Amino acid sequence: MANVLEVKNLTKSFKRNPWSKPKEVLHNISFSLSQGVMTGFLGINGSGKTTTIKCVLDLITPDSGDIKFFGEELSRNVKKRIGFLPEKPQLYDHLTGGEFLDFALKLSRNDISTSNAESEKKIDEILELVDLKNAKESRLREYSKGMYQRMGLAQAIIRNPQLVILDEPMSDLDPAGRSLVKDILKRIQSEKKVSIFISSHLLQDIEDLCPEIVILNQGEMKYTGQTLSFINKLNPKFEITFESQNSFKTVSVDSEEKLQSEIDKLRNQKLNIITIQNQKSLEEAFKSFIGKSF
Amino acid sequence: MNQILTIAQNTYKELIRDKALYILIFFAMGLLALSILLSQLSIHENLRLTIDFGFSGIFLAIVAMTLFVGSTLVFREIDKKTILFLMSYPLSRSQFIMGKFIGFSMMLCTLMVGLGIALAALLFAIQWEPTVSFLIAFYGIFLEILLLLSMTLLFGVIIRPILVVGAVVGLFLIGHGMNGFAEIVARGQNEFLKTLSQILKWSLPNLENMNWMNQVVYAEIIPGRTMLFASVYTLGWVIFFLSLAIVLFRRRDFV
Repeated sequence: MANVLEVKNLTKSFKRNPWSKPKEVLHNISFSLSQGVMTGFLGINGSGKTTTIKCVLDLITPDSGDIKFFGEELSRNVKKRIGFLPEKPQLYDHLTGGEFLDFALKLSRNDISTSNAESEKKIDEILELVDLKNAKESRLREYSKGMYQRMGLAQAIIRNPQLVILDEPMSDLDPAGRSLVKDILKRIQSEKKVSIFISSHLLQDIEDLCPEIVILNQGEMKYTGQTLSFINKLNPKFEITFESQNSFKTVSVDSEEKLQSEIDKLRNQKLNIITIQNQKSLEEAFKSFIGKSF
Repeated sequence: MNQILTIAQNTYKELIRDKALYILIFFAMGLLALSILLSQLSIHENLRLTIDFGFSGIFLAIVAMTLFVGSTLVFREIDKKTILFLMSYPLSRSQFIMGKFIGFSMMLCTLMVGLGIALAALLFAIQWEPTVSFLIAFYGIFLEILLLLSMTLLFGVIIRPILVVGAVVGLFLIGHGMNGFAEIVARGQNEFLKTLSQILKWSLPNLENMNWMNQVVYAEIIPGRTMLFASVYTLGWVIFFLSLAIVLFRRRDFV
């Protein structure tokens, strides 16, 4: 699969003032995102996640490094293929939901030839997707936190991007709000096959959504790869549920090798495997991993 | 161009929906009302005083708007972090600055037209005969406001709003005072002051070049050449200030 984003040796340091010594906040960060895959971006506070995202989007100029989207440098044409939702987004509160999305749509297009009817249709479609159709005529300042976050998400996806970058999209949301945002992300990922890069502290959500993860710690790259492999690397524990004599039974194993042999054994006995669950969560694995790397 | 107009349209909409604008309109209307009261002080100069105070009132209100709202134009986007999602769009930083400039200019133009109509109505009420100079003087105010706005945007990219106001007020006073300063200095023998006067003349915009309020008050004709010079002069400075603002804005990190 082609990479939608490739970051190589990204380094960034900040100076508190022009006379102070620069402090390195990102050190040789390298990772890539596969096409059509949801990737989680993990790290404790201050690990450099937001700085990395800002460098990638040219909001901050990196000291060094190579950033390529779809094999190209970031340009206005490339930006048309990217959607971004910043952390705790601030939108234009003086606009209504419909006006705001119209603004976003106009901004993402170079031509003004698109008819109003077409734009209206697109806006209604997106509002429906993020469950804000009834709030189209309300000013954004009247929106609740969850609605505001979903409007932020709507502006990120209205230009039909191939890559969506989301910085903490579910922080500050209640469980119902989180669940709604997760459902929207799953839908756009499966229906439109977009690549999604999510930075989050909510590891359960990342585990639910992202088959791949990138982990940063203290400005250094710690892991990039499959979520399941990461969890399995750190004391794996699997539970297999299967059907036997009209009842469900479970069996636990503690390594990937044992898991495979157990699956083979059950299949040989013509038993129907219902689920295979990893009993260790991403959160537990992450905690022990970060603990080790301190 | 589409992106510039989109930003301009949004800036216009944001300012028109801002309550601060209505406070300033109220302030300007208050100054216009004051001009009628003050004009009553003189029996013979009634009309001239109304024109003078009316123009000054409108000018002060528009300058105040340019300074206080213009100084926060870029700062607000950075402070509220709306700039983060905005810059992820296919929008260059120069388009953003140009859009902000055009949007705010459009709003100031609307405000000037509104206040100009109010002043004209007021003058009609006291038997004033409309002159072309009246319109030209408004054009002069608009040129000066464009220049002040480009200055405000330049400073707004690099320093905080309160400092922007200070810096632009300083340049505004120098810009209006440099002719008078040059006249005083020319009468004396101090070479240093003469050099300083020349430096000011060539390094900073002379805002008296587009000040035609006296010509309206005394019903004088403003020559076309004067207007053309003022237009080109303003355009040159606006391009200079905006180009500098764009260069500095391009180098800015949004941490």
